[in-house]
Amino acid sequence: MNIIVCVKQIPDPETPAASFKVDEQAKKVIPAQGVAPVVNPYDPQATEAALQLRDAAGGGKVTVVSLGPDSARDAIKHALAMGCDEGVLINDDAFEGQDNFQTANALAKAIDKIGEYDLILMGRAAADWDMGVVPIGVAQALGIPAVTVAKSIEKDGDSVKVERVLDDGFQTVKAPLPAVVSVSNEFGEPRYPQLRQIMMAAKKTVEVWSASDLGLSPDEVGEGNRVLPLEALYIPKIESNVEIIEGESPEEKAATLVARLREAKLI
Amino acid sequence: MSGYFTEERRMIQQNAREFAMKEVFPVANELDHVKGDIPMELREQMGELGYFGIRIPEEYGGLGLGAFEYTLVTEELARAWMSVASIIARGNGLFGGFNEEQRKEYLPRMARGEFLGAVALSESDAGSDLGSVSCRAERDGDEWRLYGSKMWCTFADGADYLTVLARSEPITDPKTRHRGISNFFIPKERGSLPEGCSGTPVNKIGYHGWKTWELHFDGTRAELLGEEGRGFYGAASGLEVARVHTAARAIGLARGALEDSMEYAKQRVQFGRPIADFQAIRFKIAEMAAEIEAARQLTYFVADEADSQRRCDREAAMAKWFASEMAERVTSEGLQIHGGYGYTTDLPLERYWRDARLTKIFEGTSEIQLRIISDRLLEDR
Ligand SMILES: Cc1cc2nc3c(=O)[nH]c(=O)nc-3n(C[C@H](O)[C@H](O)[C@H](O)COP(=O)(O)OP(=O)(O)OC[C@H]3O[C@@H](n4cnc5c(N)ncnc54)[C@H](O)[C@@H]3O)c2cc1C
Repeated sequence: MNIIVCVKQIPDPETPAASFKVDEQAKKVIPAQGVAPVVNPYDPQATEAALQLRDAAGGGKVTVVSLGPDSARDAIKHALAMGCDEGVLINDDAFEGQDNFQTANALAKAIDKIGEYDLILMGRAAADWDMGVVPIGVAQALGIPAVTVAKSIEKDGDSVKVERVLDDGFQTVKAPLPAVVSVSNEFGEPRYPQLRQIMMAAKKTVEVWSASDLGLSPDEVGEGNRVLPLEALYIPKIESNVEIIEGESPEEKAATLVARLREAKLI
Repeated sequence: MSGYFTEERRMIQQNAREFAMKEVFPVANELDHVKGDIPMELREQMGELGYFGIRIPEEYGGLGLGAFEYTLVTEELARAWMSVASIIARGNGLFGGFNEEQRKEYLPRMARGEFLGAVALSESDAGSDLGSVSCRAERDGDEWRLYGSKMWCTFADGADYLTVLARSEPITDPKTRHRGISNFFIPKERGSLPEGCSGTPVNKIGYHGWKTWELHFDGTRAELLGEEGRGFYGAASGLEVARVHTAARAIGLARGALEDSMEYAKQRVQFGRPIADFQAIRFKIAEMAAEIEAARQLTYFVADEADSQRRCDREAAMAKWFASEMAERVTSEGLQIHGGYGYTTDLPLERYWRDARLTKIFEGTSEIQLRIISDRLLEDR
């Protein structure tokens, strides 16, 4: 079974809130000083799923793909150390400032270029922007089904059986292969890379593809060609007030509280 | 990043860091207070990752890496829990006294974490001065039997074997008392003391996660390791890597104090400002960071020298001495930055401090390291 896993390197979500800064003028997040970027926390779960499916199928290949800066090679190497077979980095300054739809398009082009695949796995969302649209975008660009927020994935002949996590329960769906499946944290903990596999991964070369390698033209990529223009970027101000509800009895206090909450449109 | 770092080393370091902070640190914070043992699942997990086989050659089932990689992993584990950084030294190779047949049998198991040792060198009256050990070994047909007591044997219960330094010939001349000491090997059941050996755990102020024992041998069966009467010299070899390992443990603890203190100083507000705004605190943090880095670079240097098969006993003693003295100062300063909260058992800082204190005592006390350094410096005088 041939599987492609997409992984992303993001600013560390554990960065203390005080270090999180935004340049409102440039509409950009200012990277926190001295905090190294990390692999998006959902992506090792997608990688784990890929490895389990490959091994259950008794063979095949798992290829890791990441679109990002040079440093994103670390995210790919991490997946290789977990046991993936090959890695591709999509890296081009021309991608700077582009949105998720453009990224989905570029990933789809890369997946096309890789060619043979039965399944594409991704994290349910990237924990930086938390939009979760890239898996669907990739599926759309490739014209194949997308199944999101998977808790478990099972290959079943020419299709895949996926248990999805919903707000109020679980849902099992079946999709024909090839398909895109995004994996949720409910899938379970990913493995830690063994030293032996780290040593092997360190020796592997990661292929690097540019925009033109993928046949993307300059008027498709980058900030100027966003599908979703960014109007403003700012950190919301959170204001809090305290009001002590007075009253003779608990019943009276409760009634006043309910009235106040209604006024505030909170209930 | 310094010239020592290849991609492989960087990846080893990063992965060890992630494992240590996610899997070891929470366990340490929970178990240190109740003096609980390092959980068996954690040991097994470390075995799967390969942490017990870092320095074991590939042909014996290990990874064939060097002192440098061992140092990197040790610092990361010690950042989370010193005892876990220590347990990897119970794998990662056998004393020189083991023969080829034994190496073939035991090293692959050791690399998987299934054959870990405990070492009984020290006695109540023989610590820095191991030449004065009094535990006796007597020949019994083809075998040997041990009689007498040992002190401070950490992990005697949890290990799969013990090595014991004992006197196989009585002292005839005090000048040659280092002779007539041999090394003995006792394979044993994990989780109990060997037959003919009893013991009591020592009450210690830190280094929890495993017990440190006072042992009494009463005819315990043992195998001779290496040459009879040359055990003292065996015990005194290969100390460079042990010293680098201890230096890395000290550095990991100090780094814990630094990281926690930076975090705390930014959050703790006094006089209307985070205490990280006060120069007194900023300078403490700067000094802590500088001392840690100095110790680390010296330790990297020694590890690299050891991997290059160059003699570095003097530098190894320097690294062990400097790093452990540094760790005591830095963990104490970290505690100071935390004020009263630092002196509670609710934060891990006091654990770093208690554990750091030990690094000045075991694996050759600070005074003994200074003796080694000064002897090397002045030997040609
Ligand atoms: C928690 C813990 C775990 C341990 N685990 C083990 C273990 O697993 N296996 C094992 O074999 N041992 C173990 N040890 C023992 C440890 O290695 C010894 O405690 C150490 O070597 C010091 O010996 P000592 O305690 O007898 O002190 P001593 O040697 O009596 O030293 C007392 C003081 O005198 C100083 N001193 C001694 N000789 C000199 C000299 N010539 N010049 C200047 N100063 C000198 C020392 O530096 C020290 O300050 C452990 C100890 C502890 C505390």
